[in-house]
Amino acid sequence: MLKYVVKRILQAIPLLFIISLITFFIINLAPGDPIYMFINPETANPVDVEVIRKSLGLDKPIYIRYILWLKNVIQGDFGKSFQHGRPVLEMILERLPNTITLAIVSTIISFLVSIPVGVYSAIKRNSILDYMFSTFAFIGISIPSFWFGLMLILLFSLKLGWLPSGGMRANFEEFDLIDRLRHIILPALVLGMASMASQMRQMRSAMLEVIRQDYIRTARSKGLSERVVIFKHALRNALLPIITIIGFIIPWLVSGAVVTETIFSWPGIGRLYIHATFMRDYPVIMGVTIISSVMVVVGSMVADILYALVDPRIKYN
Amino acid sequence: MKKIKQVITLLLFTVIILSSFVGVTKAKSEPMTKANTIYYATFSDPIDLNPAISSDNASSEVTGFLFRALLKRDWSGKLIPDMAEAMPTISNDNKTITFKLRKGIKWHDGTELTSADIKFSYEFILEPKVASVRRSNFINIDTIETPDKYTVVFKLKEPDSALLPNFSYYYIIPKHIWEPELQKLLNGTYKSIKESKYNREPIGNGPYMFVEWKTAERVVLKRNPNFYDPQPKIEYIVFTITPSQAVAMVKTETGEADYVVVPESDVARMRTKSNLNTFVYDRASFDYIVYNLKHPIFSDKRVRQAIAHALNKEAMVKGIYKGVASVAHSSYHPKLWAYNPNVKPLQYNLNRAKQLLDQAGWKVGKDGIREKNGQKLQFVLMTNKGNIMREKLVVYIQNQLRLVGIKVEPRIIEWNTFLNKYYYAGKYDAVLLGFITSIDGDQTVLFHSDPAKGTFNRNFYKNPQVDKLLDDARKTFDINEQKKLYWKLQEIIAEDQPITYIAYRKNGLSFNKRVKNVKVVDLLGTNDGYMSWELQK
Repeated sequence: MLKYVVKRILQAIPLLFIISLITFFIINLAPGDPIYMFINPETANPVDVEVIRKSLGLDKPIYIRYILWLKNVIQGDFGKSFQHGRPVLEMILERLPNTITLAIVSTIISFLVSIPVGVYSAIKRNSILDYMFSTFAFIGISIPSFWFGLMLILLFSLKLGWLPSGGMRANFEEFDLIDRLRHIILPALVLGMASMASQMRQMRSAMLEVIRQDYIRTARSKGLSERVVIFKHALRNALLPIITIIGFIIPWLVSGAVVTETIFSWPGIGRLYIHATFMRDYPVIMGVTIISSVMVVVGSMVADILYALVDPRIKYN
Repeated sequence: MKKIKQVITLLLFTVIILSSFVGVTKAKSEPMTKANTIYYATFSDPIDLNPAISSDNASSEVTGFLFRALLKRDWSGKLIPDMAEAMPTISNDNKTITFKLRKGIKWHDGTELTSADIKFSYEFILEPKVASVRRSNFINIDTIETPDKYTVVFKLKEPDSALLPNFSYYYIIPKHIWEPELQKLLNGTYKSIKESKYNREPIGNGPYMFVEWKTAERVVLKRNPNFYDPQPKIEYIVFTITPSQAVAMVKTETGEADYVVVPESDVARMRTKSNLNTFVYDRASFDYIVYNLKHPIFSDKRVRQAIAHALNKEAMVKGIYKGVASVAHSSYHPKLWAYNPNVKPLQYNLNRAKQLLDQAGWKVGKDGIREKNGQKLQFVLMTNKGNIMREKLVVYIQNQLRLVGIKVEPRIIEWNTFLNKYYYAGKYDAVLLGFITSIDGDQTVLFHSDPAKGTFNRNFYKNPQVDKLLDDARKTFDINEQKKLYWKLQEIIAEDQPITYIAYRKNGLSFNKRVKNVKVVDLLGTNDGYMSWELQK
């Protein structure tokens, strides 16, 4: 097992290097100049523009800038934001807990809904409710999250006035659970929607496969109650594939968060990313890319390991 | 099943632990309540809360409450003293400006503000390594002397009356905080002054003091009990930071925020909201066509005048700006003191346009496009990508000019490419752009032919008479004298038509009705009217 982990980590290094290289060159070649993001080209003096360009180090050729950046990153220095002059890592770490909180809550919501619904659909296959859940799942997968988010704001904030339209909290002075829950419910629902729908389908098919197995028939023939058969024998085995989903949560967490956090003014890493992109804040874009790539690599590794731990049939050597 | 329960419990627990980590602040002595706090929905995180280096709107909006300048403006736009005891005295040769400071002005940390802070603030901004975007405004300052604690003497390289308004734009920063920081920049500890922590924990001397800045969430300011003028009425100001103007408007509509800036396109909609008062005010800002005067078509001023006559600006204001703009015929807004009402605008008149083109030798060809010596009367009109209003305008202009036999090819290009490859390089026929003028008379940057002075004269406009008028106006501090010169300037510019103006821009502001005593004035916006804002009990 240890050997496997080490191998995976070693494989990740060239991968991260290539990601950084591609990202660096793409963002630097993309149209747009970071300088015009903090001075108005309609009022700035061109002489001042050159001074600022130099102070940001943007007067050097692109490959030199990449080498300098890489050298610093290897030493753990992600550089400083063009816009704010603050260390990139500090800016990311300040936001990361907010994104993780949102992701965990949305994951819980999606599990709480998808597992029971999936199980029910499998047991009562082809019932009216099963069809309804399937339709719901397809809608949930296809619905664009920005549109869904806006509709929720329109309904719950503007029309009904039940929930805040965005932000993470209204009470800044102390930790207020009710206040936090009121703020998190809409974004967590939007972020969890797509995965909820697909997990529902996955749970349904996993369950269907398991209840056809011989050991289920054995359990039934032993005279066990249907409840015990379903929940003790079938569900535990059907849950195995769901575990791998945890590995996929991380990339979805970062990408999904970009949209959700922007719509709901959630102060997380996704919003930092999109702001940095609009502002051409290269060091921040690079920092978030690298940190989230690392998270994806680690996430899929953790999922593989978890899978081996819970399923004795799988072994890594 | 038990395991699942355990996992879920564990997850829930983690959430609670994590969320309690996320920035819980200490309870404050005077609690912030809805009744003593005004919430301003902004659509961008500030960058640096340092008036010497920040140039983005979000930062300036915050620093406006925290810092003060030597001069300020009254509601008529006139310059009046702020931290200065009176308007400055100016020597006979116009090269020495002396300010007397008010006594007893304190920084938020209790230190007294003296002439040394003023001197330092200007030296700070003039230091090239600070790379301040405001540096060029003060380049005419030669030396600054402080004969005593309350006297500052600016010695100028040459007389420059445009400095006076600049004294009201630039806020003073505390020497005792920033001098050590500047040292760190000069000795290489900092690569950029942006690295200083005081950009995020500003110490000013304004009517509000900085309390906290939670990135991407909010900035909180609290009333300064030691302010040197009467105190503002509202205890706290909270800037609620949202990711976009659309989100900021939603927050104001729901009542979560009290005021927001509204773009032209949304003014009509916001006016229908029963919980809001929406104000619209004129800005000294216009959209305009810049002709490349080196281009063979545009070197003849009759062609430029013809284009001005051929544009139906009224229709553009109505259709494209949704009525939230006004027709522009001059770079001087009609509400500016320097505006010359006697200059006859080039009104919409297709016949006059055709006549001028005929006189210039451009005859209508078989395809309806005018031509002269085998050359067609056609040009490319460029603008920057991302400004929807301008993208619509270029197409509109294309259709308008077709009516008088001019063929326009619109081209929309991304900012950086547009500026560096075409506009600054002089490689264009004509461009459509926006410009923000100061609310004073000086427009050297737009029209002076010396590249060091006319930094926005990018179309090779050169008229020695104009240069002289601009220089002379800056050499005198006599407003009446300046007015005479600027009136003459406007006559010449209207005749030369090196650029053609389309419309003056306006701004919308929506306030929740619980905010009372709001005053919004053309060209100034809210100015420092927040001092008298009140919240309904």
